[in-house]
Amino acid sequence: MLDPKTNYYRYRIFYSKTGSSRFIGHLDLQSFFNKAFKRANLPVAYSQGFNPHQLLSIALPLSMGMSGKNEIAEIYLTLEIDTKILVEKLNKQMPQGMEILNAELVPSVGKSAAGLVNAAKYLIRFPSTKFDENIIKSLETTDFADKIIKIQIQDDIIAATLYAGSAKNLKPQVLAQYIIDSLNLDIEPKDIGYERTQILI
Amino acid sequence: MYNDEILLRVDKPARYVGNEINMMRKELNGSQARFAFAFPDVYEVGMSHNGLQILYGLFNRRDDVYCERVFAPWTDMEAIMRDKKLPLCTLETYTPLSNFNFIGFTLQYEMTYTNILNMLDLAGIPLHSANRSDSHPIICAGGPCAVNPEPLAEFIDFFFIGEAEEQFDNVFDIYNQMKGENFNKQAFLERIATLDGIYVPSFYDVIYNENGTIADFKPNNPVAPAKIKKVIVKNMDNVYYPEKTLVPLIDVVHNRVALEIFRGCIRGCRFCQAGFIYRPHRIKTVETLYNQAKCLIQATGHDDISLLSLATNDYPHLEELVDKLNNSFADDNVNISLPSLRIDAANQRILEKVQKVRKSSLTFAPEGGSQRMRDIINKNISEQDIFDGARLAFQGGWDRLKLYFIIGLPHEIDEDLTAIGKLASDIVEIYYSLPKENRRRPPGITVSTSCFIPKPHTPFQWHPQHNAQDFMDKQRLVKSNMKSKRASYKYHDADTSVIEGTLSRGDRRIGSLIEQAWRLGARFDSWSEHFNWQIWQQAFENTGLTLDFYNYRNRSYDEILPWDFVDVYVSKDYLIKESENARPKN
Ligand code: SF4
Repeated sequence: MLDPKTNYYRYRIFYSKTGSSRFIGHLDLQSFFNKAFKRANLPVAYSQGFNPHQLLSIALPLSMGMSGKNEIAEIYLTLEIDTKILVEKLNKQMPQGMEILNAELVPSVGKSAAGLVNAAKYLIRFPSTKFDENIIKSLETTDFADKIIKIQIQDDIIAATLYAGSAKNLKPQVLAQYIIDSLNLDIEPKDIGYERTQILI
Repeated sequence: MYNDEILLRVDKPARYVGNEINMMRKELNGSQARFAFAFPDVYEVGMSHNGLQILYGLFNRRDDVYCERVFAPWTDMEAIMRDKKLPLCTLETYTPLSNFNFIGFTLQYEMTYTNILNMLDLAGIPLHSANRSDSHPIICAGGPCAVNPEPLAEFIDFFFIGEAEEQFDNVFDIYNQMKGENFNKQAFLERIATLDGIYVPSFYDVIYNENGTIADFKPNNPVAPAKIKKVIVKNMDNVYYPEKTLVPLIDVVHNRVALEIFRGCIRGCRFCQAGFIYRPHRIKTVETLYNQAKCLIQATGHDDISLLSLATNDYPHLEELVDKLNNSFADDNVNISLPSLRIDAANQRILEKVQKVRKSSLTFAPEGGSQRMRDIINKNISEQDIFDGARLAFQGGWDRLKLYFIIGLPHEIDEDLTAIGKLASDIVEIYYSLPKENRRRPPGITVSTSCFIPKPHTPFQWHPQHNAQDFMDKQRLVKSNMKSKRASYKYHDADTSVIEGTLSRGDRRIGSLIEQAWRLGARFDSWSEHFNWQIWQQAFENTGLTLDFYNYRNRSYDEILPWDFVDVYVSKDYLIKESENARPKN
């Protein structure tokens, strides 16, 4: 049987999730999008079977409390729709902190964005800390060194590009914890601010 | 918003940030009456409550009112708030509660009473009305438990008894006329006290007999009526219903469009407070319900419509309604659910229609295990009805049944309790008597018992309640007679039910018990993980109040009951007649 998805239109949606919307967890985010698509009266495609669900996928779950500046979700629609209109309609359904930035039509078959994720960029803010270059050197010897693509420091912020996805993955929390431990910083892990600025696919 | 330092340290920070879909945002212009709708339980429970959605919409439809929400902070949040001295704030604008004109608590169940005191305290507001000035918010309360407001009388400035849709506009109108620099709370209360459904406790005096019962209850203010009449909505089709409801951003207990199909109940089960206090029975038409469903589906994006009422079976146009909703919304992948529908020959088809896919479990509430007991409580369901229903359910493919009973009912004998296990075994038998093709897997029967709590405004309001030990003995008896391997038994905590019994039928003096319990640390008493019997025991000791007086004694028909002044349109004579009718005839 032909994959029914070939008849549908797949849209990749880029959005930001900041402010109080950071506290929507991953599962809740799915049902949040489900309802937003319904309210926006978009022709959403559903799975076949006994318990149909929207053909929605969200790439790379964002940890609770973290901001995402350029997150990715994909949704199948049964009709083609102008991406500008799609963005406009969806933005009318967003609470504060959620904004649809852009949408693009992508081929309806093939891997989803979730499956294509390769890396992600983070800004990690350590309250009242000043780093010097030595910390970057010391990371080279850790057992997760191969999962770091790029790292830079600027005052109290570490900008890191880390492998992400199913093949190779490093959570920014792991990196942060290492830094706290190795520099003996007097910081509680919960006080570190995280922002994911981009998902790379 | 609370800052990250706090939010990242509590469970489910979304409980404290608001920002939900359809949250009301209003420009504060200094002219609105500001009302904080306070739900004295955790966010996920409060946000699942349909009454909150109705009142939030009702109040906010007025430009001169801004209604915001606040919930009981969970214990982790409370600890941080106390440590950092943060005041309790509303979700809409993060305004401290003490800056509001009104704080309105909804009284859904008695075991939230300690949370009410806790919320006032976290807001920095004196607990007792007598200790508050004109500049403090006016503290009001309403909801089903307000039919006996007395346990909270010391803390609440005015109660509203009945259905707010019909009366609250008058309260706001009067407030907005009188507000301003010279606002005088006493004068305001005197004006609203003349409205139906408004009870101002400070306008009444209670005098007690030496034996502790009430000698007299009478107004001390000329404007205060001797009786408080419940306010009811007359026409359910014209009454306000929200066109949009709040959609939480996190999972809550119920995520759905709630369609209230009728109010009141035509049955008169003698233990059931809801059956008496929500009278009369008033339905909405299919047309109204369809329009409301359509509107709410669009406004929320929910994929479930739940039909709410006290007894769905009694809605006269159920099939027509279900068909209409199904035809209109099934293509949009919207499910219809019928909680509290009892299967019988008449509605088997309806159930098939709504549960096309998942055969979840079905519920029966015979309440009494024996026919004798069902006659005592006036539950008009025969053993044959139960068996027929079970057979239909099994044939329809439901093999999980839940059965609900109450133990410790008036006039109960051991046979009423042993009958419960027998009933469960008989139902299992019915399953195995069906042809093999009806039996995919062994059936599962869950029997649950709750402990009887005599409630105000019911024919059983004079009856003693059992003590916890009795309840536990009864639970043991039920359990030991639960013979079928396919039947499991769950029961409700006896200690909690005893305290609920005290609070339900309490008088004004019970306020000091609630306050003591709260001071000793009682919070979230309806949550088994938080309920602490020792605390309540200590509170009884410290206040000198006793379970003997409030729970265990027989009240006589001529005793003045603390809630007698509340008129819910069910006369005392009628309740006495019903109480007599309940006596087993032999
Ligand atoms: S138990 Fe149910 S049917 Fe009986 S009076 Fe109460 S709500 Fe009505």
